[in-house]
Amino acid sequence: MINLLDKFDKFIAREIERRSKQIRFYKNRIEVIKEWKIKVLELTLSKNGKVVGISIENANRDKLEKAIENADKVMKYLSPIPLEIGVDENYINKKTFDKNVLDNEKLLSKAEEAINYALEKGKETAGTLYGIVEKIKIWNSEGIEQSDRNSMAYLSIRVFKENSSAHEVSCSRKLEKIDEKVGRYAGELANMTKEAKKVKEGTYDVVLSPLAFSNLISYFSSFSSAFAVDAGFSFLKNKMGKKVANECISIRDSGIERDGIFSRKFDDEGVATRETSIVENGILKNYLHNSTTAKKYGVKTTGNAGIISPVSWNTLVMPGDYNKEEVIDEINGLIITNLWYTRFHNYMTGDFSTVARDIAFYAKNGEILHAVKGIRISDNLERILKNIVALSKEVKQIYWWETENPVFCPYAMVRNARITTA
Amino acid sequence: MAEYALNIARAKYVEIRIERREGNEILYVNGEIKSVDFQENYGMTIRVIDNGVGFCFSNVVSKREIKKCVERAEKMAKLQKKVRLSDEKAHEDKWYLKGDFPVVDEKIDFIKSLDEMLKEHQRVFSYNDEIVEKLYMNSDGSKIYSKIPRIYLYYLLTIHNGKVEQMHREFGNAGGWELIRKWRVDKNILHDLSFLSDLIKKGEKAPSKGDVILGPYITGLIAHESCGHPFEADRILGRESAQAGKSYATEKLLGKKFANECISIADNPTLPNSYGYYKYDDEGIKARERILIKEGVVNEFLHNRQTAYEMNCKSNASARATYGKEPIVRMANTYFMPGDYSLEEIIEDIKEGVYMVTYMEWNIDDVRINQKYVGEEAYIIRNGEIDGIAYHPSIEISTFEFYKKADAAGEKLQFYPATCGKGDPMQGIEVSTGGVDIRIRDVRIK
Repeated sequence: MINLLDKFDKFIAREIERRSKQIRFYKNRIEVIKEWKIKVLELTLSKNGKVVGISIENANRDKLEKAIENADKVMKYLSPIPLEIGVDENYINKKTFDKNVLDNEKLLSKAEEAINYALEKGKETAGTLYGIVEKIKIWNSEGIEQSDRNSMAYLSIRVFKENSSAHEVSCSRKLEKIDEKVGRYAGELANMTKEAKKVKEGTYDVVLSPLAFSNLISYFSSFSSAFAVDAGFSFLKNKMGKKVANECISIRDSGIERDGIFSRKFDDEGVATRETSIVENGILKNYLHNSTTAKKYGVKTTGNAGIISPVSWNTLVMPGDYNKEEVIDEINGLIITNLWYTRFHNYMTGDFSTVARDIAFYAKNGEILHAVKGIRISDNLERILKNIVALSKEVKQIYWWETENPVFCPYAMVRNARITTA
Repeated sequence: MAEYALNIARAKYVEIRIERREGNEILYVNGEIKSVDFQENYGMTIRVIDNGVGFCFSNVVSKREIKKCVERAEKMAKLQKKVRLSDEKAHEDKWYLKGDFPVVDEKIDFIKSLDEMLKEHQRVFSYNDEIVEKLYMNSDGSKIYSKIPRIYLYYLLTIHNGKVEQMHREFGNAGGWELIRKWRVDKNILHDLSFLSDLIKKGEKAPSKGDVILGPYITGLIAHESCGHPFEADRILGRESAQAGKSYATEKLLGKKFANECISIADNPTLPNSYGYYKYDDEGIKARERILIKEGVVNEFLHNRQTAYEMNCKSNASARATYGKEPIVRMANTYFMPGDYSLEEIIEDIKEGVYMVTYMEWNIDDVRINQKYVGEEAYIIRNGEIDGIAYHPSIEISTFEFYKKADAAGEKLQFYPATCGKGDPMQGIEVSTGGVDIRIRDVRIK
């Protein structure tokens, strides 16, 4: 069927077959189990420099012929645009795969255990447990024909106790590595219900937990896409080779991380994924590229296609020198365990604010004095990254509603973060 | 085929939604077409309620697949949690909204004409249209067919002139291509270019305290964020607590005074051509206007059949689902109902303050109390008159303080399209936010 595409000067065809299951619970009971089965063929077709993208569900020969006919019709109205399809077959496939992520009984059992752990110290819990298996095939006009399979599972659980709450996640490519005890950790954290007080607006040293820090890093990853830089969605324009973070910060993108839940054998062009340094000791080293943006910038692709916009796979924040306890023990300021609703006033300057969610603390010499309510960080992302002075050795893979691309993330201490209140 | 699902199901309740979406997206960046994409989705969702809920989606629509999906959903629904639905009238109906789209060249020419207005600046235009066709049936006897077109345009404009300033705007309706000229996108672009240039040259710090007028673009968002979301009954009952959060509202708030008398807020899916338009929701309930706050008093929450059962009332047709997802409680078009004041009357007795017209940055906590809005287009008010441009003034205010201090509502209502995010997996759904000028007295301005 794919040979129908030979009439185009360039083409990429990706067939994605995905099965997903979700266990969803709230008020301590599992309420719904969901299942999705989807098969889609995504085409990028180019003739005389004119490019059209078409997505067909459950493709067959008839549907493909109709799509080609439509593409021909549409192309006569288009102007040529650049489309490069790279070739790099140095595929590194060390990632794990686990078909058990779709096992109903095992998923139910994991979710029930997480709920029980949460209720050891917590009063109410809610969350989701996902299992996803994906098969991808790719063909392109450069002669590439490859296939890949991926699995991922993640547990996201929030625990409430009186006016307090805490959130934890566990992510892996293997179901057995999902740690149901994160329910207990969240319960213990929510149970630290020292009286929540307001604090004055001002600058504070702040410890960000991996859950909180990963939220900011996931935005940073999207800003490192060459498309975001071109379009005005990034503060990293004209910053190549310049300092964008403190020297203790190194950030990489990896499509080959063994347990990275977004690891892929190849990108959307069929180019081998790899590990790419974005920031090395505080200096911006690379944007994320597909072959088209790479040509524009005069560099090689980083294996991060997205056909239009390069995308990050798994973001790795390199661990620091401190134990988690040491990062917290030093703090004279705030400990923030989660963030949400991060919004930018200006993508190109990096000015933003984000709301502290779940339990947060005010601490002096590492001793927690009281819980804190009603705070947000209202600052600039580049400034925050430049003011990070310590990272923990402990790194956790985070992916959930507010961290839309997985981040392997340590605890971070930020000096003089601007805190505002209502 | 949909009837087949109902015939073979053994569970107490089953529903099927067969849905086809045909869409076109065009992305234009800095004078260059980046992509022209076409999508076609065709799939079915089956939801079964036994004790719990079993939900199955497949994009293979065949009798064989329906049988598999029903069986799997029935098996999955045997859970501890007891889910029940409110008793509702079943409907059989067909509804359509007119609207077509031209071939792609006309769309590209239109975007190109806008792009050329900005050729000296960094800019992004993102256009999409779609036609959504649905057949919904449930075991209570509802059978509803619908077809609705939608059209949407977004732009982000960046200007560099010593400082860097950005402005984005969205335009959208339910309906076809004929609506695009009514948006006057060109007029908005000219206005934004001129304003951002003035902001860089003349923007000054706003006073640190005073009266604030929030324009319709911002108050529409406030209605959505601090009234619409917290009045979603599933959130009040804790079903969204792990992701979208909880609510300051409880059932005890019904009938209680919550805001100044000048405040009334409604949510209405039936507004013709509105971006959040629908005639029946995704549980087959006939849509109607919902008055959330009436002259300051909490009047009703947004319900689907599950939350209506739990709160012992009827659904008000707030169940909505995106392609392949479960129906959950959603807003449609949420808005402040107009008051009596002209803008001139609202401004005239302000000694010192700001008038915030547009925002770029906003956020609110997950119980919907602590909210922040940062003005992009904003003006300083002195002695009852606009007297200069305010540089990025912001307010951080609790929901309770906002509704208590709001003492005047403007007469001119304006709607803006938005994509509202909620659910797990995330469902971005078409809504609009409607606002009037609202004055709040004596607030901290940053």
